[in-house]
Amino acid sequence: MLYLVAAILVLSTVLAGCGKSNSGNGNTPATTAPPAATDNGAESTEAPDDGKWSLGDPLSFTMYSHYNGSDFPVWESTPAGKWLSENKDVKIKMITANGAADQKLASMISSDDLPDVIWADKNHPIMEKLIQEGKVIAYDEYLDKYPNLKTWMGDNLNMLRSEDGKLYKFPNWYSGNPSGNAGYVINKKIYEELGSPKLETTDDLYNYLVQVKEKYDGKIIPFEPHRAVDSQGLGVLYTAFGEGMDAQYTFLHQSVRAVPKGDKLTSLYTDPVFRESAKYISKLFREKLIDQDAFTHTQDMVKEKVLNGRVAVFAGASPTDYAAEAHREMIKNDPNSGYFMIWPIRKEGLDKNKIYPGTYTTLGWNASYISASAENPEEIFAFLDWFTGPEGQNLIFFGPEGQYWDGFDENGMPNFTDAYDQDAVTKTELDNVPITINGNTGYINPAKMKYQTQVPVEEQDWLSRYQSSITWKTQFDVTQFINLDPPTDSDLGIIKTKLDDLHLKVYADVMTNSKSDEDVDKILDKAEADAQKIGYDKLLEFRTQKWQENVKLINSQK
Amino acid sequence: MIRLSFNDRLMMYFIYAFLILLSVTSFYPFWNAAVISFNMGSDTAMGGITFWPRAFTLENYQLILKDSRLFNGFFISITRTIVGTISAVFMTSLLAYGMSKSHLIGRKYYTIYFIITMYFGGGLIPVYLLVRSLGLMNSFLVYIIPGLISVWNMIVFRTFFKSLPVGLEESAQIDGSSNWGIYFRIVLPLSGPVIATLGLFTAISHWNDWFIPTIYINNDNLLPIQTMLRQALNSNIIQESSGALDSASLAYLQKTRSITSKSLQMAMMMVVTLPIMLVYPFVQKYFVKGVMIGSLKE
Repeated sequence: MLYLVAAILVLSTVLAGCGKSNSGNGNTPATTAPPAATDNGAESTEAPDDGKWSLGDPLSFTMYSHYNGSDFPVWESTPAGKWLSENKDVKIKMITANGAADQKLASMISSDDLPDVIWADKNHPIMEKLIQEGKVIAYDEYLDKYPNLKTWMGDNLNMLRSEDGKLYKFPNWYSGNPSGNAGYVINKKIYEELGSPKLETTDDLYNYLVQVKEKYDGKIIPFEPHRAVDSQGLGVLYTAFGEGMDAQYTFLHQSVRAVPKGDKLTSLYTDPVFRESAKYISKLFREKLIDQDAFTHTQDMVKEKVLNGRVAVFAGASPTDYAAEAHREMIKNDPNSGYFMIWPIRKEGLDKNKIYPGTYTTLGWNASYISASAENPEEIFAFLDWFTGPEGQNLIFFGPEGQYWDGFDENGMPNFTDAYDQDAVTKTELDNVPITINGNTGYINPAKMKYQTQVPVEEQDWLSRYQSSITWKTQFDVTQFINLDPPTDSDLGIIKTKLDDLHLKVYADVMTNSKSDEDVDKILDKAEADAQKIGYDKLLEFRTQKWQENVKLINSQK
Repeated sequence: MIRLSFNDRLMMYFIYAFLILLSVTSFYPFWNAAVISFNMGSDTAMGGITFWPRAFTLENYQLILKDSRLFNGFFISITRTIVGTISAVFMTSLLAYGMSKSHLIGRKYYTIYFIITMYFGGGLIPVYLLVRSLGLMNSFLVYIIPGLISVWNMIVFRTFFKSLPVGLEESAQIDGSSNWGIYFRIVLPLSGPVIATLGLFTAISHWNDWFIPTIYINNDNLLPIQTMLRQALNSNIIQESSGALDSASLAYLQKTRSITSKSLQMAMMMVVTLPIMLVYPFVQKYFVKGVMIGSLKE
């Protein structure tokens, strides 16, 4: 026994020793970037100019994605990363959070060991703190030197500036073009079986839902609003009752939760348009025309219903996700089945071209921040700028130059070669998606469209067809309503949290529990009184001020 | 054979039926996960998958296992589990052996000193700073050293050691055995059940741990399998969400593969749980005895 234990001990010591020597080797590149590579690069023949970084100069840095649900993959495991690493000596070492993003970032901050680039939400409270503490750098001095961001983002950049007037955020998927898929999807077979009635107004919709219920009682859900706790389809229905700024999906969202009247944000609960929509929706609920599980079911359950064709009308913030997949599967068995989209429903008397079931903002989803402890911030910025420019975007979406595209046309769009293969290109794009940290919608959408327009309409896929004919025309730009949240640890932040809780209760209550229109008014009157007690007014005042600042910024750009 | 009365037999059937039902209810979710991992993801989303795959596929496993780095991850996981378990059990039991001796000077204070750590922790950031200043960042040793001593396990060990007959040790002493000799030749061989039990617990926690590598390891070559699988899942989620925005990729994804995050998760669950489950049969015989440790002792 003694020998056995001794042998085990020796083994464990040896193995532990191995680990140590491994880590010794691995340590250096993991935590520290090599000394500024460009200095050497500038001395070499490649970059004779004023120390400006250009692609080909060696560069390496660390990058971290501050999300629980998404880490960057190993740089070389993506086609674009591999190409850049092998051919252009751009090496990015990814630091991953593996689902513990808050802990990971907290430990890096506390030990002053920040990664060179942090990819996080635009207004993440921690990032705002890092900005205040000077832990991330401002980009202003580089903007003219490396002009892609400035060129493609334009004056919208001003909206991204922090309170001190400087720019710390390199945006991702910024765009001037409408995007989004919110709207109504209709089950084709049921629609035809019911005689393809007119579906334009809220009355048409009501009559149609009644017909569905009568004919398929119990088997088919007349109106499926996705997850109603997130507004989703109910929010889309709300927009049917007001033109333009009278009713927007965003007004229900916790980041606004107010309705603009003139230059003031006012209470949602007293708004006549919201009340009218609440009465309509609660009537549908009472008459069992809306999925009775709408406030409790999970995404998987919604998906199952849609995939099985068990819904007649499906509305949501992006109903196309499930509907496109369902359509594909359903037409395999029956070419006459599937789903189609309709022009957004409106209340009788409203202009159908002023109804917007969905919204978009131009500033993109999130942003890259460069840490002040990075040894080569300018080179990193220069790379990010190259990555967001036409060359970088083409590399991500169409692969390296020379294979599927070669050179640019007079509009700066890629010239596609004869070898162009849609499936291969799409695969490249998908494999590169996880490292698309600063997507440039304004460039890449037209670039992709350049190829797509050559394909006949009937061969276009389901989603493209409705995006180009319906959804992109019916989404509203709500950039002016961003950043209206008070700091979470302030008094107003606490008020906001309380109001959010209240709203969820009220919303579910008014939709599912009211017995009559008077009931709706009663519940909303009480909600208004409760909200005012919590301090809704103060929050509205704060948000009005922030909103007006946004409006001023946007107008000053025009 | 003993003849059972009708009542006894009835009772026995009832007990068996109940136990079978109980094991089915705990086994079924696992079986269902296995079935889903072998079913096409797009088909799973339609619901209704119960006992058998409806559209059989190995695609989920192919996607997980295609990454060659995975085997490195397996190696790290297995190595850290073996090394970590052996060294932790050895160190903890050694400490417990000392602590089980009533003639140990200051034993009461040591006990208090250890117990405090069971109730109060420094929190993530002080621990992180400590680990960093010990030079354990990006080192394999970070898997081993911080987990060498578990106070809880030490107490279980100590209780067990105390229950061993004192006479055994005394006679060994009389025969001239040193303290080490007693520990290795008498105490450890008698401690099979407790070593197996605590060893298994330690091994499972080593195998399942994903947090330590997340916080302390930035070197891909040192990542265990758990972390790598999580990364594979993440990149699939990202691709799926990009499919929602871009019609061409959505169409491509739907055309070329059927994987969904759910089917992938289930396949991963199989890949990571099976190896550690294989350990159970080997320690089972000790395990049954082992869980009683401490119940009637002291």
